[in-house]
Amino acid sequence: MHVPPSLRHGRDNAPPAAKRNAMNHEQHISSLLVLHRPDALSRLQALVDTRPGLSIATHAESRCVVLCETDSQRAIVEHVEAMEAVPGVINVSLIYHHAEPRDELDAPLNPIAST
Amino acid sequence: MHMTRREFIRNTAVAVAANVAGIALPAGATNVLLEGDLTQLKWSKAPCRFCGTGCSVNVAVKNGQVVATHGDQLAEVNRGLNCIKGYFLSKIMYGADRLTAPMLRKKDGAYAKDGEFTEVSWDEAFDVMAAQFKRVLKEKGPEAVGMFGSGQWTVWEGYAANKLFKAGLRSNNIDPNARHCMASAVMGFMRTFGMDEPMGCYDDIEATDAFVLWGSNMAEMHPILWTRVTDRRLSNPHVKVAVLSTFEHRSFELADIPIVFTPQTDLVILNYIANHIIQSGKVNKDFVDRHTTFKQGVTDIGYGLRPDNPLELKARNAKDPNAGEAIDFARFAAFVAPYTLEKAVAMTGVEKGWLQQLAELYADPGTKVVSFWTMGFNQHTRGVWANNMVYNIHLLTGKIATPGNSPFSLTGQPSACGTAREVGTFSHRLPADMVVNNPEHRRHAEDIWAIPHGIIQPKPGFHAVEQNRKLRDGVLNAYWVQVNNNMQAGANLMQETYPGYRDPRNFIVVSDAYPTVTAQAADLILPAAMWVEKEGAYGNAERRTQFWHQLVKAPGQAKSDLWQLMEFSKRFTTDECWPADILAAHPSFKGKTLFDVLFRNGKVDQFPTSQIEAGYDNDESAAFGFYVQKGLFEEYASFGRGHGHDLAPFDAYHQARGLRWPVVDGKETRWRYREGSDPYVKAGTGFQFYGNPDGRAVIWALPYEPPAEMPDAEYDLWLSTGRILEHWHSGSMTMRVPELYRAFPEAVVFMNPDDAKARGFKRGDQVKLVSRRGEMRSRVETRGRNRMPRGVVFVPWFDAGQLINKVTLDATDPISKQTDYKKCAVKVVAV
Repeated sequence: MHVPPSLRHGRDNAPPAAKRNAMNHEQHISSLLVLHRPDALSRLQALVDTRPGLSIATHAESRCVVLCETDSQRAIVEHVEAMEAVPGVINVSLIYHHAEPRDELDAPLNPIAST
Repeated sequence: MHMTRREFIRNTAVAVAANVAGIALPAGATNVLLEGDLTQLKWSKAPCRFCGTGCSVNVAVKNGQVVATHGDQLAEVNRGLNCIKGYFLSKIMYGADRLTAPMLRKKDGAYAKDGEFTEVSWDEAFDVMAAQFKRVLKEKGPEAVGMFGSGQWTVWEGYAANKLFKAGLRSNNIDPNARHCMASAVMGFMRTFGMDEPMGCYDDIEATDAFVLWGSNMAEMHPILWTRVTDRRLSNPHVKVAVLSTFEHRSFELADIPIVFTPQTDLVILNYIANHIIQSGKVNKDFVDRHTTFKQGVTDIGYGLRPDNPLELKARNAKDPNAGEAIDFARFAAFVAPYTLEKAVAMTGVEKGWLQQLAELYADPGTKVVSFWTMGFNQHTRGVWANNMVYNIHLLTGKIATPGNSPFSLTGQPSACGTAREVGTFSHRLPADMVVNNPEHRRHAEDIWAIPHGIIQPKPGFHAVEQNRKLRDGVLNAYWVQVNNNMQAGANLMQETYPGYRDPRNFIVVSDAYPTVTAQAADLILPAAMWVEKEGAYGNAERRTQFWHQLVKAPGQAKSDLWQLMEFSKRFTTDECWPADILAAHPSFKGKTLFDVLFRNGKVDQFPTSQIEAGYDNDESAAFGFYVQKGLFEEYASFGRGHGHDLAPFDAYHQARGLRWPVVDGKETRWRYREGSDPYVKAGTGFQFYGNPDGRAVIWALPYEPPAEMPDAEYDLWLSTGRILEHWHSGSMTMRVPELYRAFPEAVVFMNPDDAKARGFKRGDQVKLVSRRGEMRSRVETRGRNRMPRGVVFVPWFDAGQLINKVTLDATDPISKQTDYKKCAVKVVAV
């Protein structure tokens, strides 16, 4: 039976968007909520220590908030996958995401009220 | 105090996450100011475009483009959380290969089946399409036209399509892709409760003592609900989690009771638990006496294959698989008595201790239990039975419709419930659980639609799998597909789906946002607007109806499915579609267009565009001159109000983060069927399963029966298929988000290391998966997120380059007609 190229070689047919590199100089600041078994915190801390851009901002017994600063969204996904692979980590959720050019991020902000 | 934007954003990110997590804030991170104040973004709410969980996301628009999304902290469902798909939601609309103009196969300036795709105007597209539909209507009648829709249709899109086909064109050949994922759940609900959809809601998660996952990998498929389950388990040490599957997946990481069973033997485990409850004296007699009845179902019901298949000819009850006879408790007890622990161990391959612990969760009157399931139950040749059987164990113990006691069918699409099921876009259904073969239901629908009696056809149309077979056979000749990728999703691609689409007798139209393999197999492609490019409504798995506004414009000439359906209806007159005798008896309908009688009927067009909330576009209403979505919704809502399906007034949904029906006197219902929480239950009754005339739920006596195909000497492995976290279904949207695509670029075949070794394969080797129907190439994966037992392989189905449905079998549940994508026999050989 005749099979069209689109069905035979789906990979060649992959969306161009997926092949493009994200060409920008953005920095990404995001926060992640990690749910884990209580004894997994030290292993998670050990992983975070080996990865520049990651830090544990605050934690409770079985959950912690990880701050993540990267040059690309792809790097966020890699960090998420690495944390999910830590034994005892059950779940990683993304909470907040912001991206903008590096130099703008270093600009001073107008004074704001403390709440 | 001075700080850089970087410090400010860091603080905000941490503060929002800590707030979501319920953790006290660290010092120095307390300066929180949300985006809008600084960045001039316009934030609006919208439910996520992906799975059936129904998370609400905040969507930021800047200069007419969606630039950011984050979890909605005001939403009860996700409470500020977002999964990886939802996180990159803003990108799905901006894939580089977005379709922006209608494309028709043409040769020498005219439509030709073997022509090349050529850009055409909407006028030309609809002219050719209408001519083809009219040709088929004239030659063969309404049974030869059809439509395949989706649980991703908005509520009003599904409603307009249902009306156009069942009332306008008089064809019941309209079915949604929800047939592939939810049909067994629907029939399970109908047979047990006489009414579709769960009695409980997500609030059960925080109220329960035990979770049992029956064929559901929530960690990857419903990550936000899984977060809530995880939180409940980790914060409350007494809570237990049981995970059942035919292989080990990510959800097993939380499992206290991990169970990997031989495919199909979930039926044995279910009956063993029922037997254990009875034998150990744990039946809730008062509940069973007052609120249930018993039935024994017919057996040997076949596998929903073509009627001439030897398996069908051999099956005694293939013709009436839904039948059953009334029995009593004693007969039910005798029926399940052979399902002993020993028998269960022998058939399932599961260790005795795990089965006992699982059964005890259900039997112990002091343990509240939530059962979750998705495709492991539903895509099963005995899927309806499996649904009935899990209700059995909840009913025997009275663990139902109370907080924390909940048999809960999860859904895979954002509006499988809200659109496909509630609107009734199945080939046998009408809105609000009504069916076409009931004359009273037809009359009622015709009254609401303000059309003459006798227009709706009494015979159910072709269901999803049957549609592919009828296209293949040249019986169904004019066919419209919207918002789904059935070439990739439908089973048995090579024998059934593809030849049907390319048969010269057939004209195939596909509406989509992207050039999916289904679109490429069509004759006419219509570019579709998606998600927040239109005003929409979805209904999630817990009966929650959610709305969103149009936030941006669709690219190029892309138009919403709703606009396409309504605009197309202008090209047909009643004289072309309705019988002459009915028109003679109702002369006021003569000479009208289908648009006039379906949408300009004094109901759908009753709300002016001035009622659209200021600040939001609404391209469909601008085109037709009235508030289209509101008119369609209010007409649709009149089907269910006063009948247990009550929806709130239209405008309420643009304010609320969704409301769970029935919404009576402005109040949503969290637990149905229980006195005090469901306004339809009469005082003094305690519980009423009012979907059934006697107010009782049915406990069904049903056995284990083998699947349609099992491994043998030649095809020696079980094949199961499914999804993974980063991709959603066929990948037509997620494959366009670079981050998701790279996270899991190519499908692989997950295999036990010993099975691989025995065949001489190493991890990463190219192999061929071969079944009796076809073959595909893939790579061996022996590590990673899915750990296979020996004898079972798993392939995800998102990758258009590796179409696993060349291999799968189109065996279905004979009652629900839903395909079993989880079980067939294959061999894996070297390339």
